[in-house]
Formats: sequence, structure tokens, C-alpha cells
Amino acid sequence: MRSKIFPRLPELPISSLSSFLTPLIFFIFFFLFFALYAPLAQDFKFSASNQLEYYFNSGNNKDIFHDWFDFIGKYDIYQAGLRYEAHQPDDFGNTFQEFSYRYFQVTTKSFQIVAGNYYALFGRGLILRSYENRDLRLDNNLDGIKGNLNSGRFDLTVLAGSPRNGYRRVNDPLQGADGKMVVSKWLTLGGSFVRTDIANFGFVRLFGGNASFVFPHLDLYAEYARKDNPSGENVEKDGEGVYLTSSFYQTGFGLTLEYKDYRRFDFTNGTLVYNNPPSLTKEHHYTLLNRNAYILNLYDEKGIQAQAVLTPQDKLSLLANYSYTTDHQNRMIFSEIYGEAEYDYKNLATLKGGFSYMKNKQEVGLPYFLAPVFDFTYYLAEQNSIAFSLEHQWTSKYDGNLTYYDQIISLGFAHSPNISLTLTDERTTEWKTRAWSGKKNWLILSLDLALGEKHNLTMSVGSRRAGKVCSGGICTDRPALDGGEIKLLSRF
Amino acid sequence: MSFLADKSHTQLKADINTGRKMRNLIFRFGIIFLLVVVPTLIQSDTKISSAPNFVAKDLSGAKVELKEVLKKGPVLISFWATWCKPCIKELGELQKVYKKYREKGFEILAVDVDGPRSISKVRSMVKGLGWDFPVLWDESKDIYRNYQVLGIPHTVLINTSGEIVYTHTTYRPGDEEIIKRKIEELLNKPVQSAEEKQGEKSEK
Repeated sequence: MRSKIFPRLPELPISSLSSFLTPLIFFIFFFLFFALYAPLAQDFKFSASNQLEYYFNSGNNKDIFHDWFDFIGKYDIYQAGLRYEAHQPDDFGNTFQEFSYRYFQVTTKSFQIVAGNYYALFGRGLILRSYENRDLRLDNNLDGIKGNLNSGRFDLTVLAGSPRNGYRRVNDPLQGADGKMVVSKWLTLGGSFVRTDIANFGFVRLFGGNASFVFPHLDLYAEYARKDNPSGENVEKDGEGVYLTSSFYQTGFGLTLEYKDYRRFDFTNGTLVYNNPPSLTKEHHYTLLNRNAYILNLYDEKGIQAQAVLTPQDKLSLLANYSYTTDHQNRMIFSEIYGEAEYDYKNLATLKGGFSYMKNKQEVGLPYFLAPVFDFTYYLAEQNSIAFSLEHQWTSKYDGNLTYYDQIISLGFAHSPNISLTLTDERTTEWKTRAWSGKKNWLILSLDLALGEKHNLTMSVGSRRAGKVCSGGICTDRPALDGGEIKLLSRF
Repeated sequence: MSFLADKSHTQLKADINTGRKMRNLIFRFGIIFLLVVVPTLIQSDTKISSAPNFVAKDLSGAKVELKEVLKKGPVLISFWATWCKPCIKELGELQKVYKKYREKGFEILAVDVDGPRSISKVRSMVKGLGWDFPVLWDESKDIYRNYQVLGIPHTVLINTSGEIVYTHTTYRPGDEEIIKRKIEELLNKPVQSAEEKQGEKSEK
């Protein structure tokens, strides 16, 4: 695979003072810039943000430091942006710092040109999805040029660039085009094409079409894409993907039905993934349910998902979700039935209860999970509230020969709009099932402060269990914490 | 004797390591302290910044431009996603605020930052929960980046001159009361629209 290290600032040892001076000088430069230049230039608009995360593990004396600083300057139709990114080290011990995202952009009503780094989405991600998700530590932005032309009826995007993979820039350029045409008030048609020449492998091309129908109370969307690629070691020739969805809705009720069929449809270059079609599994906000989420397998899967939302009265809302994924031999890989109800009691308290029954054959021991979840919020006064949350997950593996449970309980107090204090306890009985020398329960205290309108500071002390963090079928492993963490989000 | 020498050498090495770690820790906390204190000192809450204009499609595919919506009254932008529990809670509360003030020209634009995987569920969810305000899809998260959003829920209140008068990240029960007061202030004390300001400038 041909790839080169993207030009970057020299990597410095973590203990070196200069590794901190570089970002510090950068910050000072921008603070001075804002202070001196901005008042002089009325028409020049600027904004900036900084996201800092610092974790200190007292057990092994190791720490993790992440920082992303973004700056955007705008004058009339021109816009430029810059991101400085530092990981010293990241979750896996790698150190990295560089200006990882910079661009110049011209935007008018009918066209936009971007030179430098940019993100892109074709259709529903079957053919191309270039995006950033900091929770997943994922950023596959493209570096090159992107142009967009749009009139009332037509919209055309053309791009060329090299994608980012981890901390490197892949040197196999990608070209693509995506067009949409509004045929009528009810119908929009679209088509996309991308290609890349992967060194020592050959050309990979993806092309496809989509149709979107919008009727009163009913939406339909269909997309088909085909992949042409040469065969290689462990790589079969060609592939295809289908995604269909329909939504029916009226006030107080909504129903969504989805279908997927992905066959040899993984569009990759080494560890880089270019496409990210819908995974058709429920995206959970509960830690335990998210920890066993399904990981998208574009090589061989098909499935369905149905979700219904109902509000029978003002104070009550109900949600039901069913998802089912198999391979092309019709062997079930993943299924989940999830339901929840939320009730608002006289504006004094909110109660929410849910239940999940999940089977995930991607995991060792072919487990199934039963998980009740419960949230309770009580409003003490206009600005004060207390919250209690429970997640309990019972796991059965190896046909019931190994069973255990995990449980998370949290208790919190919030004073609007500035303060939240939360104590979270997690425990497991998994240690009873096999030799286990590690922790059996984890306790963490978090204080969340809004410093004015533009800064949010979160400080936590205690321990948190390692585990998977997932979004849309893409997962990453998050290391355990046994010490403290500080997160600061700032906007200027 | 050599045992003692070895011990002292090991101890010396340990002391050096501890010293390095301490120095390292002090530098780190120094930087973090700077990053916390400097922004707080140059707290720019009082400074009014202008809201970046944008054009986005609502769930029926119709284009919505912020500049046009602002001609009718103040606008609250709420960044949210279907998987974000506090976002849904906040939007449920904002729906009540919207019902109360929409007749006076107040508008909510709920900017959805869901990826393509969840977007098909958004419309049925919005209708199912009975939300009336326009929901826009920020397809490539351009609006999210231009507003320097770092976490959701994130709310931005904009007056008819296009100036950001209030921003807030996260949701705690009771936050909607502050938003309500801010909206009332804006509706009771109309400000000049961007065009009026421009007209005044050119007259001068």
C-alpha cells in the first residue's frame, strides 16, 4: 500500500517542555490576534473554539492529553479555517501534533469552492462519507478541492482529494461527483460516482443512484450502489449495496421502516474506510446498551429496522424499536427489541423506563442480553433538580453456561444553568465466571460547570471501566480511567 | 556495601523519575490552568458577535435561510440529534416555549446533526413527539462547525439584527426558563434589523 506521512510538526517527547510551548505559542498568537486585529476590522468576522481533554491515571501513572483548536475567519464571501490538533499521547500511547485541517472557501448563493481540507457526504453514505467524530477519535477528512454548483432544481458536487487515515494522509487520491435533480415537488433523483487508484491493487469505482419521494405524511427513499474492483488477496471482485427507507407520520405518531443489503460492499484502503452506510441498529444513549452495539459488516449483511414513536397524550411518550441483521446465508448476526415509555408527572417529575433484549453473535460466546433501564428526574424548584438513573444488564453466553450482570447507578444534582454534580457507580459479577484480578466496581464523581456562556468545564475523580464506544456501527475502544479527568470546551 | 550502593542508585533513579513526573504534571496543569483562566478572564459574554448565515434543507427538502427567518423575529437555533437524551428533553421543553411565542414572530430552528444512518428516523420522531418547529438537516455538519459547536445540546439565541445574544451548551432542567426570559426581552425590546442598520450607515 502506497502511503506517506502527511507533513507535520516534529513529534516531541511527552516530557519535553517544548511540546507544550508549541501549542501555547499558537494559543497566545491567536489571543493577540483576536485582541488587536478584530476591533480594527469591522467586516472581518472570526470565531474560535478549543476542546481540551486530559486524563490522569494514578494507578499506572500514565496520562492522556487531547486538544483541538479551531479557528474560522470570514470576510464577505471568503472564509478560511484552521485546526491545530495535539494528542500527547492519545488513548493508545501515540503522540501527534499538527495543523490537521486548513481550508480556504468561497461561497455565493449558487456556488461554493473549497481548497484544502473538507468533509463530504454522498447520498446516505453508501458511496462516500468523509466526517469527523471526536468521541470515536475518527476524522477521515479529504485534502484537495471541492466545488458545488446549485440552482433551484440542480445540485452538483465535484471533488478530488486525499483522505486522512488516523494521523496519516493516504496518498491514493480520490475523485468523485454527486448530483441531485428536483424533478417535482414530490420527487428528487440523484446519482453519485467515486473512484480511487489504490497502489498495488488497482482502480476501485463506486457508482449509484437514489430517489427520494416526499408525500403528505409519507417519505420514501431508495438508494442502490455498485462497487467495481479487481480481485486480490482475500478480496473478491465487485460488490453492491441497497438501502431503502420509508417513514409514515402524523401528529403524535411516527413509523420508520428500513431495509439494507450490503454484499462485498466494503470500500477500504488498508484501515481507512471511505463509505459508512446506515447500520439499521438503534443508537443507544445508555452506556451498557451502547457497549454491546453491532459493528457494521459491509462485506456480508442484510437486515431490517422498524421504529415507532407515539405520543398518546401531552405527558406521555412511547418508543418501540426492532432491528434484525443476518448474513447472506440467513444466519442471524444481531437482533434487538427495545421499548421505552416516558411520563411527565405534573411538571414535578419525569419518569422513564425502558427494556432491551439484544442478541449479538459478533461477540465471543454468542451472548444475549436482557437490560432494563430507568431514569427519574425530580424538580426541586425552578432551577434545581435531582436525577437517578439505573442500567442493569444481564448477560448469558455459551448457551446459558456463563451468566453475569453489569449495573450502572448514577445520582445527580443539577442547578440550572451552571452546575451539575453526578456520582456514578458501575459493578459487575463477570469476575465470578472466570479468573479476574482486576476491578469489580468503579465509582466516579463528576462536576460539570458552565463558566459563563462560552466555557464548559467537566472535572471527574474516580474510576471508570474500559469499553466500547459506538456510533452508527463504528466502534472504538476507550481505555479505563483510574484517577482524574478534565474536559474544557471553549468558544471565542 | 554494593547492595547499599545499588539501593541508593535505584533510589536516585526513582527520585529523578519522580521529579520529572512532577515537573511534567506541573507543566500540564499549568497549561490547563492557563486554558481555563485566560478564557474566563477574557470572557466575552458581553461582546456581541454576529450569527453566521446559512442555508439548509428542512425535512421536506425545502431550503431555509437564516437571514430570511430573522426578518420575522428572533430565532433560537438548537443543535440536536436523535441519540442525544438531553437534546430531546430540551426540545420537548422548547416546544412549549415555541407554542407561547410563535405568534409574536419567534422561531426555532432545530438543526439535526445526525449522520445519514439516523436521518430517516428524524421526521417520524419529530412528528411522533409533536414538535411543530422546523427541523433542518446539517448534512456535512457545516453549520455545526461554523457555530463552533463542541457538544450537544447547544442553543444559540439570535436577535433580528443577526446578533447572537445568548448561547448555552448542555441541558439542565430549568434552562428553558432562562431562554424564555431572554426571548421575552427580545420581543419586548425590538432591535433594528440588519437592513435598517445598513440603511442608517449609508445615510451617515
